[in-house]
Amino acid sequence: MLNAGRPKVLIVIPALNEARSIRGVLEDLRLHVPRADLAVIDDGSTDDTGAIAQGAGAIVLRLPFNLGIGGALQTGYIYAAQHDYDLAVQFDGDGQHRADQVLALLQAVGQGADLVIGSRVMAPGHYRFPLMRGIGSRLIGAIVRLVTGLRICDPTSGFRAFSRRMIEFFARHYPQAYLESPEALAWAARHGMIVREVPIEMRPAERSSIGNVMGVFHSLRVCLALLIDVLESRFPEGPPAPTPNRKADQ
Amino acid sequence: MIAEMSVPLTHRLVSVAIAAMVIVTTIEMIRRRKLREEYALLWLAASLALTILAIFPDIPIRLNRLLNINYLSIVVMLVFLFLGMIVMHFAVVISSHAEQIRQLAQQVAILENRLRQARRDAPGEGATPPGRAAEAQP
Repeated sequence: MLNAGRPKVLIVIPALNEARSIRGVLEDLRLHVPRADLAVIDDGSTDDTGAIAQGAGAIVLRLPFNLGIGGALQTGYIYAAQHDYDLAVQFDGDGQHRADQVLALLQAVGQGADLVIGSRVMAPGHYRFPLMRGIGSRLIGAIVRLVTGLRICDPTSGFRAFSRRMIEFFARHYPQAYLESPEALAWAARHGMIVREVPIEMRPAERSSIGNVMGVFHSLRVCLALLIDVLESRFPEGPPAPTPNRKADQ
Repeated sequence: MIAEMSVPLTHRLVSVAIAAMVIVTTIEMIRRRKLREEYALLWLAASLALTILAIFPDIPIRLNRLLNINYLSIVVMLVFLFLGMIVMHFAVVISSHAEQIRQLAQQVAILENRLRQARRDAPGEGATPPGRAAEAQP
């Protein structure tokens, strides 16, 4: 740990037009994880998402245009790497993830994992996927197992926690295309990160952001991407975390 | 000699003119800084090849005899090869630009946050641009 005793925690919340839900999400997090800093990544929203988050006291990183989920999340990790956070949590801005489950993820990181996945399907509450999503998730899980050897029940879950090592890696390399979570997990595993999955409860998603047809398309694209990634050479061990403006912090 | 005779003079003149036009256009684009040299290399090479073919139109015909392939097939193949190279080249350029634009956007977001933070930490100075406050006081 960089900050001995009290690890610094950053909760990274990507948000695109979440003006209705963002305040509730931030209040929920304040209540359950009072020590963590909250960073809302406003991914080119056209509503008041950024202003509301700022009013609620969050760190707001406003992207000048929409980058997509991967680029937005990575912005949060770059910020976390530059500001010496020990732990980071990936948390949805739409209210699907539950703040009272964050500590369970952080504890698992504390026990030596680099990437901890909050798994809907492992929990006794039995989260039910819609049919097509369930099939897609299983297919992606099978491919993830094929390329990494890891048995992950919920590879597409976007409720995750990271160690400092993982933050620095993701600040440099993070998959950009939609449905990036399985690829991020495979990249992490390939680069020697310790991946763990813990059961958590999640609220059922109100609405999917994409339809069934696109869902099938993205699932297949991810499977292909996972297989192609095997061909790629590993990322070189570069200098630690991009910190172009480190001097200004001191 | 017989091969050269098979291409009428007017055809040869027209193809030389076209080749010259492509070369002039490419060079003019570079000169006006509308096309960067690094991306113009392929076009320059292509217009050069075109010129050579226009001046010596019997090259494909000889190739045709040597390999026993239809004249048109050779031309189509060459055109496809060139277009394929151009497309591949563009894909590589676009990929690297997308990456650079993303990194810029991310840095803008982080720097904008830092700027807002700095303004908040230094109340009063936020409104006036640096330098102005000193000028106001003689």
